[in-house]
Amino acid sequence: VTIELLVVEDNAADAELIRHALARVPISVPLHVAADGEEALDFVLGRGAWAGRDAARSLRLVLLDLKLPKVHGLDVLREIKSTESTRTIPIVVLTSSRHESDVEAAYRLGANGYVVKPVEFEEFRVAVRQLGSYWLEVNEPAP
Amino acid sequence: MANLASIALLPLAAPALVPNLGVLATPLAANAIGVVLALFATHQRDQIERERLAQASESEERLHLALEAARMGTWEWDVVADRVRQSERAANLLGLAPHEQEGGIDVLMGRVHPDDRRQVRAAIDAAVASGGQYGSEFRVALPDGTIRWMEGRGRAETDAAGRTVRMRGTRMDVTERRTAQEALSALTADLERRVASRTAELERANRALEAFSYSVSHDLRAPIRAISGFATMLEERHAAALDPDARRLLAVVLENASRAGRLIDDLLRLSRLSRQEMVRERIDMNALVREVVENVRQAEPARDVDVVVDDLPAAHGDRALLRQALENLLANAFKFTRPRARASVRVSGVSTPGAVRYTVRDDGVGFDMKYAGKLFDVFQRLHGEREFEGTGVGLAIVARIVERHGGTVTGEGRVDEGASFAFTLPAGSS
Repeated sequence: VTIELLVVEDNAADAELIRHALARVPISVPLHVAADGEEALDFVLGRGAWAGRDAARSLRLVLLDLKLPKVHGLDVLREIKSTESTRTIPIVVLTSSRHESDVEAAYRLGANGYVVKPVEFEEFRVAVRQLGSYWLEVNEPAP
Repeated sequence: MANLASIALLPLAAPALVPNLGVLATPLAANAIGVVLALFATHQRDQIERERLAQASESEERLHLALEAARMGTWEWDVVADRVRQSERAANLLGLAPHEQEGGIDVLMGRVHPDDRRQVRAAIDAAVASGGQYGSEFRVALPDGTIRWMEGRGRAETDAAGRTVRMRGTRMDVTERRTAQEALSALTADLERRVASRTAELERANRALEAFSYSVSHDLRAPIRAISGFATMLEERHAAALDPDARRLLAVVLENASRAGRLIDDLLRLSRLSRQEMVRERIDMNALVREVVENVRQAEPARDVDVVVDDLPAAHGDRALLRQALENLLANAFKFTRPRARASVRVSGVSTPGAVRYTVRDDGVGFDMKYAGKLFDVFQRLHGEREFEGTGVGLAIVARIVERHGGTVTGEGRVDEGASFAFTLPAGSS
């Protein structure tokens, strides 16, 4: 199974910066970008345009923004984590919000991590690279 | 009271005297002394009776005067015969004509405002049933159409079987009191309404502020990150195509993007301070200051700063907030002594009645006291960005933290002779 990575990000600039930061991670992994919450759920749960596709086995990491069009990031998180076939997919929230209520809700819903996007690009790049290298290279995925 | 006293007096004086004399007198019936004694006893008894009556009438008069002074009318209701007798004033209060001064209870009830009748009737019935106290406030519609408020008070009197046979009491006009009370409660209600509306306004403003800070944290950061990100990528990917001037211009873009980012972070920190819940506890300030000094030292390891920490009294406050205040003050002390090859910083503390006061003093570049009033304002800086970096939020944060604790903060300085910042905290109750 080829492994994949999903970035759920409605801001095209941020999506490109994430892609740029992860380009340097040694293992080259196909990166999908979902621009809203609904597209993210379709991709992960194999619905709509992605019907019949079993993403659960190939997804190694979902980087999830919270403030998303259509379906909010926390609802995306809730649905993926409450679906038997997808609940082991690692999901790290990558957002601008450091609101205590967002952080708490994310962990309660089963987020595997919560990273506040640094404003400065250099710090942002370091943070995203560390995430990529940890989840794609260091971490052992669920069987 | 007067009645009770005379009743108590009679068996002690007159009747007690006569039988005693009788016992003594019988064997001496023909004796003149006995006759004199008997006559004397009779005279004595009449005298006491006269005094008793005089006293009774005097106390009645006093009662009458007191009632008049209080503008109270009196009434008496024979419950069994349903017959009411009342003083002239009592009748006047209800607007009753002289021929209506006596009659059944219905004559009185007829004067009570229809809306209050049920309530008055219930209070009377309750007193009759229990043989206890009666009291009610009710409106009376006078024949001329005016409405007055009355207060009726009374007490039931029972027979040997415990049945209420009579009620006696007073009646007075309480319209002025009522009016004042109503004005007062209208005022109170108005005040409460205004407080509620202000509170709602404040809550709305607070929510708007929350939404604003959320949007600042979310929406303003992204474009700044994009500016710094894409400028970096331009610099990296196209380095060969850029001449030194283009690279310098890009560096200015990057530097300002990063400054904007710091400003937003500091602003958010400041706004969080007001929302953050405070947990007050006793804090060992010696330990806390040592920790903070250690952190600040690590941030500037190359510096030679002699930090002296005196023995500090304990504080009562929120540990995380006070740590932040101390971090800002000590970081400032390190920052503004940077031109000194060997700098010295001293933290001292003193306990005063009701408060503790801590001072952080440095021998750095100081400041001109004419700017002292601006020290704790947001975004106020007394030094250029090139001299000393910063966003001008640090001391505003210190002030906000100290104010939330109910304390005060002051700063003193002289150009090139150092600065000293002191804050007080109210002494803890525990």
